[in-house]
Amino acid sequence: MTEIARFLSSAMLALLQCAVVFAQKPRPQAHPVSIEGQVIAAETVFQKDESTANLTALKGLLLPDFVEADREIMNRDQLLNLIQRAHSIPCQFGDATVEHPIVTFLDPDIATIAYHSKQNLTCGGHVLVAEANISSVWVNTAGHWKARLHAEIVTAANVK
Amino acid sequence: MKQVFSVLLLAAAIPLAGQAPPQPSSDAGSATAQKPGDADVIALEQSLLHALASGNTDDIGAFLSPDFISVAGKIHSRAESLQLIKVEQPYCTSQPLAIAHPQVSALSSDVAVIVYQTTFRGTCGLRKGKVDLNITSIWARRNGKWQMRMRTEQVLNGFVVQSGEKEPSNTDGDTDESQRPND
Repeated sequence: MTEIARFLSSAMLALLQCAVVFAQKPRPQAHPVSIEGQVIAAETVFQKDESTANLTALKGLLLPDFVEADREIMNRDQLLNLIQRAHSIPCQFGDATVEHPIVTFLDPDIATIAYHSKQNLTCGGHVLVAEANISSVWVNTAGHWKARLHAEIVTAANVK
Repeated sequence: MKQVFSVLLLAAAIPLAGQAPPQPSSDAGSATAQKPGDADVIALEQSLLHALASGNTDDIGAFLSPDFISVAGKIHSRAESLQLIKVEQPYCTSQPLAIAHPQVSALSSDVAVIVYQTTFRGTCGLRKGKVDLNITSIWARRNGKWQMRMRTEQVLNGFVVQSGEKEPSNTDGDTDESQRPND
């Protein structure tokens, strides 16, 4: 009985030690996203919100004094209105890609991104593939990256 | 073709005889902790246009930060932009570029954005053109010196004709697509 009790006691102690060691072992953590990655992610969300006409989310992603500089120069409300009108036509917007992004920091809380993008627009069985070079300025406001400036230059538009 | 004229704009050889190209102001905004005023940023942009007038890539390069990026029909680095200017400049001339309807924003004491419209009128070899553009420039102060970090050029409309051809009578948005500058 004594031997059995000693064995069980040792076994429990060993188990307890294993549990302590296991608990102390660093757990794998999610890889932290770099600041550059945060800016690219913000730009990707911007494109996603635009292509899905998620105006509420998009508005929250743009600073109140946001400027869109395309063929027209628009403020935030004008851009949101344009997106709403664009999505009123019976076409489907595909996701816009963010290709070869170049991110630079003007200071720790202000970044620029320049990249190439492709997006499909499907209307009645026809697919328009548009390509553009895009630049944006992002500002970190209370831990959230928000767009201050966005400019798109269409470089190609072809019907498949 | 649009790219050619983007380069032309950047290389705009404005004949300003007798005028030394202004250098970037190192104290735009006067105090380091203060945001630059609208006039300071417009003056910076105008200084760049004057430097472009010289056609001297050293002068132009002084305005461009080492990590400068040009976004137009293509995305170019500083070195690529200056090389394009160097190649095109000897063949191209331009009338002075004016800054119209500028919108200036100081994002911090060391970062400013200017968005404006301008019109390029000039010749490049036998080609003569007039192109309206929206320009976006990002300026940043580093080590006390203001330099351009990014420039985006959006061609709105315009025309290009060979020497001897008749110019379009109306180029306000109804340009013949076959003549529109396009990269």
